[in-house]
Amino acid sequence: MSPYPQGPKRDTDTETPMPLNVPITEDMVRRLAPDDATWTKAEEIATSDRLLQPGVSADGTWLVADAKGSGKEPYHVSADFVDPNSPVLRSNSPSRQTPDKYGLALLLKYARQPDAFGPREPGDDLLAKREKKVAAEERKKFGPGAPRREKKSAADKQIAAQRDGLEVLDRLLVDLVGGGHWFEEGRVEKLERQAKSLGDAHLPAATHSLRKLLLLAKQKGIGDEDRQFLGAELIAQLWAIVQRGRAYLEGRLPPDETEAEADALIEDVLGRPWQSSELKDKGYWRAGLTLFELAYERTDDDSRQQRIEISNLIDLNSGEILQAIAYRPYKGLNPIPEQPSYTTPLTVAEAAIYPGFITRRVEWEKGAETIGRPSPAALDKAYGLAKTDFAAVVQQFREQLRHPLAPHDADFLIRAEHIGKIGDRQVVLEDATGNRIEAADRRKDYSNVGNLVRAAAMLGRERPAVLVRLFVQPVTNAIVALPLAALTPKHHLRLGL
Amino acid sequence: MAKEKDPLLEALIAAAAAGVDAGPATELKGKVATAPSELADAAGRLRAAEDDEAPAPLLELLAGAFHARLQRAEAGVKGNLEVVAEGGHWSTPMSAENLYLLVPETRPFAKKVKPEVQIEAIESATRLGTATDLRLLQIYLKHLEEKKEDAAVADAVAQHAIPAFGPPILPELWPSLGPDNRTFSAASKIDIQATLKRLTEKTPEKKAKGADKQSQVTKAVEKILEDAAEGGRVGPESLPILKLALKYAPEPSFRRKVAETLAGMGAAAAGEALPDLVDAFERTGFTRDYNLIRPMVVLGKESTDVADALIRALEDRDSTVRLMAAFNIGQMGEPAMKGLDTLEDVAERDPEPKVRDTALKTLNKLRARLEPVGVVPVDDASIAETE
Repeated sequence: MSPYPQGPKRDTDTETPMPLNVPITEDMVRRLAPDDATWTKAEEIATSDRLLQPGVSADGTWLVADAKGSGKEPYHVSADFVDPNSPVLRSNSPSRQTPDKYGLALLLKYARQPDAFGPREPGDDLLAKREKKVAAEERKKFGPGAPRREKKSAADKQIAAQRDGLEVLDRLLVDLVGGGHWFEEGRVEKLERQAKSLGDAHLPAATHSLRKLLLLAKQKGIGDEDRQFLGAELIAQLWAIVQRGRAYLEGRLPPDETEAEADALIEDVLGRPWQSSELKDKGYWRAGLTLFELAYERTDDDSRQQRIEISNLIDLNSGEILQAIAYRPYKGLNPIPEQPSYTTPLTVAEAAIYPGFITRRVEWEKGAETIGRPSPAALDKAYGLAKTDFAAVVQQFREQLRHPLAPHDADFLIRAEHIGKIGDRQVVLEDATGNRIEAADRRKDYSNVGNLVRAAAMLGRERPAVLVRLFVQPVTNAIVALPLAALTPKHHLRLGL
Repeated sequence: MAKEKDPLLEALIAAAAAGVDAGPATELKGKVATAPSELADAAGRLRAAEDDEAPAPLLELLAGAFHARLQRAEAGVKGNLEVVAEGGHWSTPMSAENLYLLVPETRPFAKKVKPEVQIEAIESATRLGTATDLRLLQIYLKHLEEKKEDAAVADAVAQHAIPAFGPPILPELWPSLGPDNRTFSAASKIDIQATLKRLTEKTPEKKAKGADKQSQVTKAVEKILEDAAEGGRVGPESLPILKLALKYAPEPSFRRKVAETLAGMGAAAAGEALPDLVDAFERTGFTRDYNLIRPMVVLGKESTDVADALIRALEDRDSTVRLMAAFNIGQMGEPAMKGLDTLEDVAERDPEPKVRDTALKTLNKLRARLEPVGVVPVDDASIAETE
């Protein structure tokens, strides 16, 4: 076998003294290339100015650089020489070759121009990866007798798992758009395995979106075109989650985001549940709430594997719509108490108002609420707090949609001047100036809209206030309203389950 | 509402769904040249990207294009708004705790609420007046569509929950009304007249389905009788459909069941249903239906119409009809006297000895009422056999 499988030795193959502990020759690098095409591209990159800030670590075991590619941000490229005989090349470029052209280019550049490399230390994530690899090799070598390493804190472990999870997701997304055919059997099986492995990554939003993709693959009664469209939307959403997740993990605030918005998202993106003390410190706290439940919902979310119970409340002082929510996992439903439903007004001495967008979550300590007596005045007050201008409501909702990861829904209490039908299918709410919002259902097995029509027959002439959840229908891209309750100063009808 | 046209997004989705590895993304790169300014940077990088790197800017563009689309989402709908007509009275008084006992589980592999618990919930809610919760109406209506005969919760809904809403609920029931389903049971409990009217109306849909009045009526009555057999009762409110059944029911055994049900209703049925019973007896075909004789007599012992019908039946082609008529005239009251001459004739000339004997016995019985002496002796054994 030729000692030079990738071609004859070149003039540049000279061993030059370098800060790196390991001598590298161009020939050695070439032998690492998976194919000629990758080698050619690596050569191009190495001779161009696309490798930015190349550096060597002080201990001489790392080569690190950024690489300008087709991504928005430069790729991170590194070579780990902890095992001098088997360097590990890493890169977050979308290339699916190992090693990829950027990793090879990094080595090649060093082989050709070691002087171009300044001092540069690897980031924490790279160090963590090395540590993990070394530990795995020690376990492999020594078995249970492997030397014990310093224990990491739970928080550090979680961050490491999240970093790994985001990397896996990134690869997964690249693989999805690279290979296409998302809903083919083999692909779905692979996705299922990946979704399971993400279960320990503490990335709830990403895990839920991935599960939604799997559920979409299995959903019946949906056309191929719509399935593809919805699948693409989920993939796009996952991409946005990965980008935000990386930023939050690095402690960065994305440029187009306020701190309050980041606070609202971080729980779902990075699975960091808020503690009461944190919420209080950050000002997400309110005293003296007078609440009145307008609607109560119980839904089963298969992507979250949770039963979600929501008490939709109106703050009778401010008119704000708040949600008291119980998230009850399918596995372990009983230990989590049900979200109570309230048929009379209640006062709460102090409560956390979670960071969020238009509709925010409210939570109080058990027993902090005082349940009042049935009160016609509360109903009258709630009715009076309904918003009368649909255009302003829709505009407020559209403001929320400007954030890429903001929920695609929000609750409003709106006063309908008319409720009627256009043709046989469309049920429409209209305000006094003729602005309209179409009512629509989200479930297939139950119709809140059907109940709205019944309620309108009873209350229509009294200009009822209707608690609606505005949402964007994915395929039609229309802002529509899921009716949840209808009320007048004298009557209160709940419209959904 | 139709799907919004977005050529850039469609091209991106098509490329991603087919997989950019499948071939050079030349066509896509051409299309992204028209990307709006906020996506121009990513579009430029996609155009410049080598094929192995195309997924990165493609994902970015896809996310950007979806987000841009979301920004264009609009509310509102055009057209003539027809305000919902006034009517109905609804309430939602049931507590969440009880409500969800009756809401079907959607969780996979969830433990379902036991039927007996649901039935108890329905019955107690009916007693407390909370069964008529608007939120449950759709669930009740789905129960009514249950095809299985053995469905205790569906039966409880038909028997208790739906009738508790009263007449305003009837329009909600009409779309699924059939003569032999639970909707019929529920609706007939609320207003049998309206239900029958609706059932026998020939709507265009029914015509299209080829459903005829006869089978509608037959099935409806079978449902009523079935409900009655399961502990219910057939009340005067069912008289109209039973009368219709006499008119349309083709099967003798079914007519007999209807006639016996009417006989069991006693005086309530006598006034209203007797003419129909007589009519059915006389117009059932080539010969009369002897199964209707006994119910006629039970309901119309003093009816001249019944007596006349039986006297005419003494000349029926069917000897069993003649035999039964001859015997039952004897069970009647005063109007039976009109039949003396015909009975005399039958007792002498009927070709069947049993008919002749029975006619003679009835004749003697009737004469005995007038003049207790001079009775002609007859063979008791042959009479007993007739009975």
